[in-house]
Amino acid sequence: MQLKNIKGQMSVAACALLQVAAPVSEAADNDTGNETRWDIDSSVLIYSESDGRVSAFEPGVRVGIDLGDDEFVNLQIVADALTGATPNGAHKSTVVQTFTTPSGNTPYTVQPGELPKSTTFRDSRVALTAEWDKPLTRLSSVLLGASLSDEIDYTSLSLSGTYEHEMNNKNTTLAAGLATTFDTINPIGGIPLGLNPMRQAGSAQQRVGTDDTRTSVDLILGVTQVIDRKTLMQFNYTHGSSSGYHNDYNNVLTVYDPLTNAPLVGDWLTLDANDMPYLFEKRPDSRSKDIFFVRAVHHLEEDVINLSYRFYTDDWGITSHTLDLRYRYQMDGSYLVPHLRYYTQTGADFYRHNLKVDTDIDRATGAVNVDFASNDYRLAPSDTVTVGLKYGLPLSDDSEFSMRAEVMTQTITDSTVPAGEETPGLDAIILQFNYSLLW
Amino acid sequence: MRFISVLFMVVTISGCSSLGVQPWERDLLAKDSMQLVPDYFDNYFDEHIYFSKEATSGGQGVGGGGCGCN
Repeated sequence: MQLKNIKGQMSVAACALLQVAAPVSEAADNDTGNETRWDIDSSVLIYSESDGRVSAFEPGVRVGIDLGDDEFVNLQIVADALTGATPNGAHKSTVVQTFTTPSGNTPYTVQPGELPKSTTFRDSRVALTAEWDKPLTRLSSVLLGASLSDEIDYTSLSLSGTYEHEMNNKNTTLAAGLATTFDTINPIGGIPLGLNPMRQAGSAQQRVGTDDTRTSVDLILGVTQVIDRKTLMQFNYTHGSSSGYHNDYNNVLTVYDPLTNAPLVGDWLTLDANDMPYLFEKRPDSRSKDIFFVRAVHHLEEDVINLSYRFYTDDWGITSHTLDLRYRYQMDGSYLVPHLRYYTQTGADFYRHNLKVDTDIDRATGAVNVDFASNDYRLAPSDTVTVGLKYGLPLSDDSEFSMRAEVMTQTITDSTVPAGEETPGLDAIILQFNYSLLW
Repeated sequence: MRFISVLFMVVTISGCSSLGVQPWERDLLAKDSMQLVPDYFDNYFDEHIYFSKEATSGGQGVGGGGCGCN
């Protein structure tokens, strides 16, 4: 949340064009001299998926320091503790299926009719962010940011810079931002060779090194415009590109025999007794995306509507639409915020339910005739609907407590999948508790 | 796509000069509830969750760190 003493006096046109800029760009025009103010936001997220899938516990603290003269520093730490199981990319079958854990050392089996999922994992992540918002002139400022995120198999370093310029009596803010992210992926057991078979536990797996990297660059151009006394609008255009390792090293695809309607047995698998009828996924080593985002905030008599729409398209063939609506219902001394989010996406060009023998793979030799393939449910056509409610209670002029509860339902909409092999949808509960203090 | 976006922004900016308010008319716009992102952590966690569960992400701004999210 944002507290009135600092933020209520802001110049709205100077406010957050960019999400990262939001908390620090709120100039306190009438702030009290050079006295340092601390704006502390804390939050805990509890996220839980059904069917023994992922659960997460994520506490976070963000400290905004007002250095005076419209200069701000933000420091943030968020920790994640994750546990659960996640689909491994193979699909349900009428037979018992056996897999090997990513380390290559341990087998696990999945019963007929069950969705193959990884064995229960535990992971933790720590993410640190620092931002510095520095005025350059009366009408312009620059925001510099750095983020570092670390978990057992993944490290991410991000650097960003955003220039903002106000015009039209501070009713219009233009922004241009650039961010570069350096990711390092180091799976336990190494990087599996894409479109090559998973092998029996204990035998040598086909690896292409211990780690790999990906570099991403995002450019964003934006306009924030005060429309009238009650309405504010934001327009962003983002172009992003990334190159390097994009695979999910946990994911495989079923090698499916249309003659038996089950994972392949025999044929080319007899060439090496350790090969199994599951191939590791493989994605292109680059991705380019374009995003258009528009948001409107409108004040009614007492309540506030916050509505946004995002259009996304990329060169993997994915197009998505996201609609997000929050309605702040003001009550006497507290408020409620019903939230509705609707998301729909098409599948990636290389999304496949499985790889079919004779069509995609030569029955005798095992030669694969596709360049890329993944059955990651996140690359499938899908719809996601989230419904939630938030309750906010200001405790004083300088502090506030709020909490929200939401239900997320994701449905895979691939109508070509035969009955009995479907990837089940995902239901998740989101609980969040916030406490903010201005000090 | 890029051309359309740039064109849209040019039209938007040129049309903006007739929009807006005077400094003394910012009473409602200055309220906490009228910020583009009124609750930082709500937005932060939403971005994190949907980044992990959907194929697309981003659009609101630059920055943040990636993850090998499951």
